[in-house]
Amino acid sequence: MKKLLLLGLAVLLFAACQQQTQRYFAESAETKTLEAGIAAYESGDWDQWKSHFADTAKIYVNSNEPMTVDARMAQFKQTTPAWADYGFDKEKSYIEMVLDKEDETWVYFWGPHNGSMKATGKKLSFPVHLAVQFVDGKIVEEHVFFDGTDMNKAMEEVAAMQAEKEGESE
Amino acid sequence: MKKLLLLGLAAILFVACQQQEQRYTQQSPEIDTVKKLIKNYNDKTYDTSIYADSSKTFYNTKDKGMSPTETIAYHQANDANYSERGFLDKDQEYEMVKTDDGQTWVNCWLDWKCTLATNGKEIMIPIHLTYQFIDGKVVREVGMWDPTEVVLSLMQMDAMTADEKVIAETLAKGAKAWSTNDADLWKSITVPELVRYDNGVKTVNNQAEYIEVIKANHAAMPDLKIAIDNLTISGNTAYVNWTATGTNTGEFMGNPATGKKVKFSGMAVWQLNSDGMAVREDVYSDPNAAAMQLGYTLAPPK
Repeated sequence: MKKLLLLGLAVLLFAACQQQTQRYFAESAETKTLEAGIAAYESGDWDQWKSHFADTAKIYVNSNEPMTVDARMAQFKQTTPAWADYGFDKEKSYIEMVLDKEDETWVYFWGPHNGSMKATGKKLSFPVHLAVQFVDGKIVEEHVFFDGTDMNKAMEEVAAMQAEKEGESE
Repeated sequence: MKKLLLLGLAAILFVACQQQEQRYTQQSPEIDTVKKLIKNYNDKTYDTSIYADSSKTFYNTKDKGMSPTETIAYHQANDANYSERGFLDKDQEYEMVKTDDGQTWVNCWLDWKCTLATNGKEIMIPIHLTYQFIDGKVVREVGMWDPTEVVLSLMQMDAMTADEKVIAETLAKGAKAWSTNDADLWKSITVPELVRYDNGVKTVNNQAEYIEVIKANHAAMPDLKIAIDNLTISGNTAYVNWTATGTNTGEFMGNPATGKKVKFSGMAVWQLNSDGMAVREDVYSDPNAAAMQLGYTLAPPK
């Protein structure tokens, strides 16, 4: 009888252990999706980039005010042609997923964003952090953190150079 | 013997269970340490002992690490730019993970807010910070945020003439006096003959009356705050875009408290004399904006 009880206890504990949700993941379907989204950003494949987001997704770029996926895409389409090349240093990037206490699925990404400007040749490197929430495999919320001062300055230099050129040709 | 084996198995499973739980948590001594670090920053009671001696801090950079002493010096140098700054208490997220490499990291996502010392401008920045721990000490701190708005405002201030800087500081003091109900500070930046016009109508005849206006507003909204959103200076005239926020917990103009929060914006045109003292204010704002947020309604004429 005692044996049975102990066996029962062991089974219960084992079941409890199985039930205990895994909350940290170095890799998952969602981390792969975010990586695919980053690759699409790097290649400028905006349809592919957009396909990972839910229609109602909110993107917060260094701000508490959200923007829509379409607005973010329009921004990328306007600014990325100024780069001769851009992208993340994969060797130094890190990705993980957690299932938080509210059972929300969040993928975190850290990586250095490198690139150079087409017009000025100016090289830029700044670290970026993404905190991305997934529901049913789609991104519903993305928070982007990075220091934009160098990039803004580089873009202004490009704009000033273009304005100068246009002035000369008139 | 079998009993012992089973008991042993149960114990192993139990321990394994406990260990599995440790990969992700929202409560841990390490998280408490990071919260202490944030509180120290807010209180300006910097303490290097939270960091290991060899710890490196990377703010918005991947290769220019600062030592704990350099990190604190960095904060102290920046503090000169702000009359107030700190991380907010609301909506702050902290969590700790153990990575596949066995590293312990505390991640946090916080809102940071400052008031620029020179022009009273308020700026809010979302900030991500992450801390690696070894034996209870921070060995690596990484922070990412966008300081663009602060940098541009400071550059704008740098471009100002000495006179414009004095005017900007006067208006920052004005916003502070309004927000803290500080009559002495108000007197230090205004002349006794100070007048105020609201939407073209003279509403204040002297400094003493103006102080009563501030007092009455604070009686109605003890948490009243006036923030400068933007400031343009031309000669001795300053154009101020402002936003007022407050909770109506006291009586206002004979009306009982509503307990409601209000937020409304307007513009003030300030005239200063050659000594840099404010002599006249012309305020342009929607007089119904706050009232309607409090629940008052406009009735059509009978």
